[in-house]
Amino acid sequence: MSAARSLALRSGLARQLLLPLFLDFVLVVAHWLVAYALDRASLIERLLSPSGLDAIVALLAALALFGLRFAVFFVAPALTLAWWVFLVSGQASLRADAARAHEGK
Amino acid sequence: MGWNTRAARLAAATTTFTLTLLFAPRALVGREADALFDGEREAQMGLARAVAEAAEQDAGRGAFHTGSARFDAEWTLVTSQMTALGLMQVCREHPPRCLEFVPAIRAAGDRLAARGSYVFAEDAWGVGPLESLEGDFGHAYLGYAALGLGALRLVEPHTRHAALHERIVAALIRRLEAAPDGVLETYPGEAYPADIAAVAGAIGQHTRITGQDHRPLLTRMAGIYRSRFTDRASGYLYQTVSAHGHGPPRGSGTAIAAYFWSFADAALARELGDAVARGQRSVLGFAGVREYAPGAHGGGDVDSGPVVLGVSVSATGFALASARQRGERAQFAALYRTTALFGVRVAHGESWRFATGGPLGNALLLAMLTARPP
Repeated sequence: MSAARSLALRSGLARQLLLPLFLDFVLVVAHWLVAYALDRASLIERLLSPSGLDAIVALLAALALFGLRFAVFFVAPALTLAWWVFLVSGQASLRADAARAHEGK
Repeated sequence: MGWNTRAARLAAATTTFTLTLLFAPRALVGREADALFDGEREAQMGLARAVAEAAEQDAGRGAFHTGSARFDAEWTLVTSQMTALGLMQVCREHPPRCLEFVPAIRAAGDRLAARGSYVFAEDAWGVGPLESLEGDFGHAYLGYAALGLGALRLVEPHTRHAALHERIVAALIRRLEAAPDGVLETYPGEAYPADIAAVAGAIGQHTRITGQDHRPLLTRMAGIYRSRFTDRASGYLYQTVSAHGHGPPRGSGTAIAAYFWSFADAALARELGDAVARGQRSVLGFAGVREYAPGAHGGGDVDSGPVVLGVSVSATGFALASARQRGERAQFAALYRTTALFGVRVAHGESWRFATGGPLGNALLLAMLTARPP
């Protein structure tokens, strides 16, 4: 494998490894912003509000917040690690193929 | 099998996903559980500051719009009670920092002592509870007021509300002594073991404050709880009691009663806490407490909050107190993770609070998270 090809492969792998981290960061920031916004907006008082519209908006916002929390704490870490294992195992497979080809020469 | 097949790579990724799902959430959510369980100063102080600030600003007033004027007023009353109890517990755990919280406990006490706080009861009874302390019936919610005022007395023994506290406790003792079946009504025709537990707790707390012995009455009441108010199969308390029968056994009433009884009878508090622990369900390190005992069914209401998959918000939050009081670290941590997940902890400078808690939820959780062993 040429040095240029090896470098290209490595840089592609690095990008693929970093992509979920970037998405995790975006999720965490979005979650943080929604949580503080709802805290400032007194979520629970709005949920109990006699104004139907206020309560519906608060309910939707609360659902969005809990959706983000499940994504941040449950789904994202598991998906990130699983994706990394999938990628790294693929890279190991490529290296093994390359080594076998080299020995064959 | 090596990495040379896509199936093997997918299997490895799936295994990683599953293992991470099993262990990561419990490591990421509610990381301060151990510090709270151990009563570490900074863990408690942050929430205490937020609750104190809300009390001093009277954040509970006008904050509730349940659709029922009675429930709104009850929640305001319980917010003041739990504020006083929670801050008192922090004071007793960290005496050098207590001075910071005395104004907030005093403000909560002022509200508990104000006649205007009981308009909801006047509507039900036709007379205000503080104007009818010489009477012989009802007003069991005064147990909440007495516990809150007692908390103030524990921090500030010579408070101007000490005389009122004495009068309320004396009235509650007299009313319980006059009730051979132990049933003290909250409203006409309505009696709740959780409210009567607050009355018993207030009487037990009074012993700690004054040294007066009320043991015969409390022993009789504990016997009534074990024989008449408890569902034998589950150990849960009936949510309502009357001369004609009782309501279903429920987790929310049992869990808060366990906390109240911890001021009066450690053994009964432990028994109720054990029943709550048996009603606990856990998934991925997150625990909740069943609202209804096996065999009983129902939905959520103003007592339980939302009931999801049989688990209620109130029972889960209230159970934190007995878990800490009984020294059950793992149970406390699992319950706290659920609380933190749905409570959404947000920090503001040196204080923090639960974004979804509101004034009542945060005051309640402060009291439950800082509950001290009897």
